[in-house]
Amino acid sequence: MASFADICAVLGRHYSAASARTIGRMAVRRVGAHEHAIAQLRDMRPLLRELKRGMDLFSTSPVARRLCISQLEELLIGGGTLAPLLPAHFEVSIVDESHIVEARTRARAMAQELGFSRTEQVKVATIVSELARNIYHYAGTGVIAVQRLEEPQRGISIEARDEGPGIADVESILAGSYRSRTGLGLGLIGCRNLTDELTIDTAPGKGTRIKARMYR
Amino acid sequence: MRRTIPIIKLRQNLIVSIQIEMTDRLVGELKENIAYEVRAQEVSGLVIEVSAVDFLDSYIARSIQQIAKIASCMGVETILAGLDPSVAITLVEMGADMLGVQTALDLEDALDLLEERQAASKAEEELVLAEIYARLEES
Amino acid sequence: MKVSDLNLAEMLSFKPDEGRVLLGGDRMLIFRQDSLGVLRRLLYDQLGDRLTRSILTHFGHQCGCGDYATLSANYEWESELDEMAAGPALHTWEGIVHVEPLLLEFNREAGTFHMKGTWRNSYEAEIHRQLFGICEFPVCHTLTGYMSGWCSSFIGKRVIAIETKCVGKGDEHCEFEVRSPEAWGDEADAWREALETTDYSLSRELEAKLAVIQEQELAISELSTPVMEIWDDVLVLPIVGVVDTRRSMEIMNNLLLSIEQTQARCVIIDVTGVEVVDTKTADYLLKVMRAANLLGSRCVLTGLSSAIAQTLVEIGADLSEVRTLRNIKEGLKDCLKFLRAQTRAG
Repeated sequence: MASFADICAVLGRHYSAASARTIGRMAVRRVGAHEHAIAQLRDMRPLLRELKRGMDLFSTSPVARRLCISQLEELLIGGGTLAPLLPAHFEVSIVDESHIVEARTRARAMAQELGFSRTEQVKVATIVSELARNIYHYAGTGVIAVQRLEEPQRGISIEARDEGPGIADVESILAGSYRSRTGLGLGLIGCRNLTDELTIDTAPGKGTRIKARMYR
Repeated sequence: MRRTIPIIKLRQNLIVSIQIEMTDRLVGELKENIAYEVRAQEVSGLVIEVSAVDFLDSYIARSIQQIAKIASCMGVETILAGLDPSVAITLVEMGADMLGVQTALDLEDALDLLEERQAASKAEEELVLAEIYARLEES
Repeated sequence: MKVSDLNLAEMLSFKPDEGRVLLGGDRMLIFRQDSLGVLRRLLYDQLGDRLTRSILTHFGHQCGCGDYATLSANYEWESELDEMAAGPALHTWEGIVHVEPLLLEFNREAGTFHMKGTWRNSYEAEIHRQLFGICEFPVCHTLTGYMSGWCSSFIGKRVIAIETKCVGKGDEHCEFEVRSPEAWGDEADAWREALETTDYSLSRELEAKLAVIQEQELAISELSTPVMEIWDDVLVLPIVGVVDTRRSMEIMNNLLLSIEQTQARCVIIDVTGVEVVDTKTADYLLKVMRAANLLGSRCVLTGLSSAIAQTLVEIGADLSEVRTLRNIKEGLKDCLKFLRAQTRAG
């Protein structure tokens, strides 16, 4: 059975916590219901309509809005329980090739849940894939850590860590003047082009730590 | 031979429709299998159909380029069909565009293109042969 | 003289002013055992077991024959027995081995011979064990050779000495037995063979094989660079085998000559028969094709296998300037179309 908290939780995935509560409270009041008695409402559709009206007052990407609506529908009308939120962060140890796929799939799911557009989801998955693949091919093993970002802006933070040989001369790689047959350069340049922020911390023999951020 | 992704022969062309998540290993397997089939079958075209693919990174993109080159070594033309717009945008922004690989909107378009060229080629061949036979008859 | 009179200390004459040591009138030499060991090791390493055994046996054989000749020339023996026994005695005096005859039966007129004896302190077993450790087979080849030589010279007929026990094998001491060849069964085969191989065949075998290989190479290269005119203005060059620098020069020369002779405007280079096409081979082929282009002939490459295509692409070979087609059939179609277009245009 849906509760006010559940509604706010769903809204909270796509709007800030404060906005979510405001939308929820406004909608509940307009249908003349009480926050503690949502479950007793016989018809959820008016509530849903008011929630949509409230959502229009706050801006978000159309994709996120649609996703939010469908999740609310699922919750209120579909009789479904709140789908468990994906964890706010996760780590994948890159040991095997299959971990590259796992890391990017999970990162993409997180991006989807955060309301990233389809293209942005692909970008997130691509960044994770490139970084994970670099770890696998050059360092042997490492870790991909992905985290939700809430403040100041919604987004995803991706960190790739390894104790590998490190990258010598990152500058020329990023400048595009280093041509690697295997594509290490291309991967890094590609990541830099796709992300909002990219920092690389590496030295020969000292391992590598790359952080990328994408905001919604 | 392991055939996770089927390769289908349709008249003069091979069709490879990728319906599953592309792991590195799968890419390697695909490269080998396509290379084998291109050699083994009498085809002149190859369509790699990727409408169900929602993710391509630079490595997979490069591998597709390589497949096209390998096919070209054996006289077979490759067309990439059905690339998802989001994927296309990402590839372009990354700078990993597929230079040298022809593209088409979907499978149908790709086959139309290939078969048009193949028909033209065949027509020309027939003209040439007709002329040759004519000359032979004369002599 | 009696065998007991044999005394090398008196019979050897040292002539330091000449730098010689003489036994009778023949020059003798003194070498270190360990230095001889080096020689032995080199022989085994370079020539292998069979040939070395044969060489050492022959060497020993000659020592035996030579010693017999010298002693016969310089001394009168009291009896045949003394004459025969002088051999083992001399062998002992020379510091090669201590010989203890156990059995000696012979008949010079009948030509029969049978001898058995013990060898102790064989130098040969000693150095062989130092160099190679314990072996499966007796190792005192110069010793058996010596006995064969001496006894054969004595009896006037060929006899074969074999080793029945050997320190080199791990036995307490060495033992030998000498009989005429007919009296031996197959247990003497190894020694018989060592005595009989007079031709140092190993290197000659190698030389013969090398000659065959060179002939075959020549034959193959003649077979594999034919240039054929399969249609007016169309040449086909099927390449088979390995394309190295030498072959590529041959191919280039052949092809350019043919183009000149036939004035062909199209060339199909088919590499179905080439097993490996790496960047170097691809480079050579490119050179050949560019040269043909310079003469005004258009080239296509056909017959790349799937394995070669994959390798070339993976190593990043640049085949962008090359027209590649599936096989000669497609190549011919392509050339005919090109020629037709040219005729129409021209």
